[in-house]
Amino acid sequence: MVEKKQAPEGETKKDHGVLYLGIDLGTSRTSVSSSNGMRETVSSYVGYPKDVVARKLLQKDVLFGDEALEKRLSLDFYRPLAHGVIRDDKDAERNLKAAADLLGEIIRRSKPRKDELVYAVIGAPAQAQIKNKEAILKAARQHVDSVMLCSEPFSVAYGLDMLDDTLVIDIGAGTTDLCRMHGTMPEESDQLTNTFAGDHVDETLSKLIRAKFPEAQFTVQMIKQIKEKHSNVADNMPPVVVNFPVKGKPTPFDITSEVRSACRSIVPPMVEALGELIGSFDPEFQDRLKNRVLLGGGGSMIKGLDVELERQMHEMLGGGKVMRVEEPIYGGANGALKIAHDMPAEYWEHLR
Amino acid sequence: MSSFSSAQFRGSQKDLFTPAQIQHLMRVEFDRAQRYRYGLVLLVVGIDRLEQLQDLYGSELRDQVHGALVGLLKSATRASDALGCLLDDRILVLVPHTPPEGAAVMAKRVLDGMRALTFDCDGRSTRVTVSIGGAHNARKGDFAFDTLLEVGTAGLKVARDGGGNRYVHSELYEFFEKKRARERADQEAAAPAAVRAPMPIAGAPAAAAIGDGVPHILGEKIRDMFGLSENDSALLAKIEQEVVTSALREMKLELEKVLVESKSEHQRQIETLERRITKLSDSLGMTEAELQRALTQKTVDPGVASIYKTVQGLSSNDVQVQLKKALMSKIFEANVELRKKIDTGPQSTS
Ligand SMILES: Nc1ncnc2c1ncn2[C@@H]1O[C@H](COP(=O)(O)OP(=O)(O)OP(=O)(O)O)[C@@H](O)[C@H]1O
Ligand SMILES: [Mg+2]
Repeated sequence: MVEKKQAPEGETKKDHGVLYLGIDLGTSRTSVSSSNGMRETVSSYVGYPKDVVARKLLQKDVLFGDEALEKRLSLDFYRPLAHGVIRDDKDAERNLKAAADLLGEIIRRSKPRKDELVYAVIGAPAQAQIKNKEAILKAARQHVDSVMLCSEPFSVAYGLDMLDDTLVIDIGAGTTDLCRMHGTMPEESDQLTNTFAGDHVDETLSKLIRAKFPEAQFTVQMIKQIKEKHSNVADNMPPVVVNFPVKGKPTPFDITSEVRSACRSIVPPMVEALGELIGSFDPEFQDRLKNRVLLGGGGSMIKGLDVELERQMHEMLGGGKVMRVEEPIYGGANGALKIAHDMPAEYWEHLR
Repeated sequence: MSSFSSAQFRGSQKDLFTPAQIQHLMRVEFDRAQRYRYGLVLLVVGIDRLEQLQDLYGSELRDQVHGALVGLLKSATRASDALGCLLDDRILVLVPHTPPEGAAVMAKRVLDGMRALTFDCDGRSTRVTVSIGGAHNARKGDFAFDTLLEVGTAGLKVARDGGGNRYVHSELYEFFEKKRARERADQEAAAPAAVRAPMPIAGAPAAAAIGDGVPHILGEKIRDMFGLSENDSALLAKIEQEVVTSALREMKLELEKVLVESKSEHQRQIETLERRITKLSDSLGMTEAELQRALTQKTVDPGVASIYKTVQGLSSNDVQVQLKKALMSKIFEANVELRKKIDTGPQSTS
């Protein structure tokens, strides 16, 4: 039985059509693409003022994204989506609230009108547990009129119309998700996940720099920014020279080869996972699959990554062609929006 | 709903892209197709006896015919990523992800559609036909976009010469490719030799010039390595010069490598952005049309945002419509299951 939500009295009647949203809920970033043309992205951080003083000072009950990160010392600070799913530890209850607030914020930023219904498709990591999916769904239902989940790599591929014989690689912050598409809904055996992703590059880069220049002082946050600016895996990459304080005095360091090595560290596990997914596929179509590898997610912005991946695929797998998603940040959200559009109206109605 | 933007066919100031820009996008698409080895076809379409028609009935008829033809082309190609533009009196339509047979099918649709139309002029109704030349990239080896264009145009010419109202696909790839190669060779032969000499590195003095006054350190190093005495100065100078020349050569190679790499990286980025722009302008054009429609039907406005579902939603023309429908119902079913679990679960909230 489906119960239709009734608009409470006094609230504007939602009789002016539907706003469709595609939402990509990620460890490091949550993004939305919306049918009214809005696209927004916010770092997946949520913070609540620690006490009355902090609240007075910040003049807000809740902060999001980079603003929350910046003021985290006066906040109860949450990164509610570790590994892309709502965390379920001792803080489960509050994490869930933070996740719900984050979803509410991203939906607000997509500027729905008061008189339209909001239908959303949310891309969740391929391997999210049932319990986590439930949590995401619950959080979302507080803010939209109808909602569906779908697997994240699937939505990336759907957005690009690459539904058959394609290997999608989504390089996020916490995880790299690989998913094999072959014209049907991907199943468990079509998906592999490893933790060699953006955060791993940051850690590796920190380690390498610390080993070579023990006197340099830096934080992981600084390293992440450097990586996002200079990431490159090419043999002939432009030199990377950055300033780190040494005993308080800014000092230039050449970290070119460290940046390259750190960025390259995620490639071999990726090739290995590719080999597994290709090797267990119908032999007749293995070559085709090999030649349709699609790179997406923030980590795919590493320069030269497609070329390097192709090179290593040649070495290990005897060949391969790699393409990049056009908009790494919005690939998931765009795909989810396309699914929302293509979903028949009666399905949406049913889930209201 | 067909989906390449009418904006790309109009010739007015308001166009998002000039024909030259669209041709550039076509080149980009063509290069991509070559790189990733997917098929694409080019149709070169011309209205038969356009000049006479114009003389007889004026430019109004031309615009009418043109409008109808663009409409037919849009519905015949059906692909969301087709590119179209006007080049002189020809219309070019590039349709990616399409095998050679696709060109013939599309051309037939346009020809049939055109034959079925009549145009009103001064109270008289007239029929107008078109000719179409086709070209594709389904052949081995490298070739250039210009060759594709020339093959298509040659097809159009043959179709017209044969009386019009037909589709011709010539197979003159090789011919035009060779012709282009010859032209290139001629040009190069005509160019002054200096242009073809390797580029000197900016700021680097010529090797010989350095050779005269190489710093002592280099001289001493070489003397050490080769066990030369003070008297071997001629030999020393020679070796020095060779060292400097080869160092410069190395530097130049290195520099070129870096340049090539960063250029190809930039090229990729430019292509990506260009494709993105094309797509956005597509939906912009469609949205414009849809808004226009909504305006004329104000009384039944279902809300502005809903328009996008019509514009971008699943079209029955989509080649994968059945598959997509099946996938949608799979997603839906999975969500119904999930919802059941929540609603019957222990900590149910709704
Ligand atoms: N230019 C860049 N070069 C390299 N890495 C980058 C660049 N820009 C962003 N990243 C990295 O991409 C990662 C974030 O990617 P994305 O937004 O796809 O992750 P997410 O979806 O939030 O994470 P997950 O999929 O693990 O849940 C971060 O590690 C970020 O540092
Ligand atoms: Mg992600």
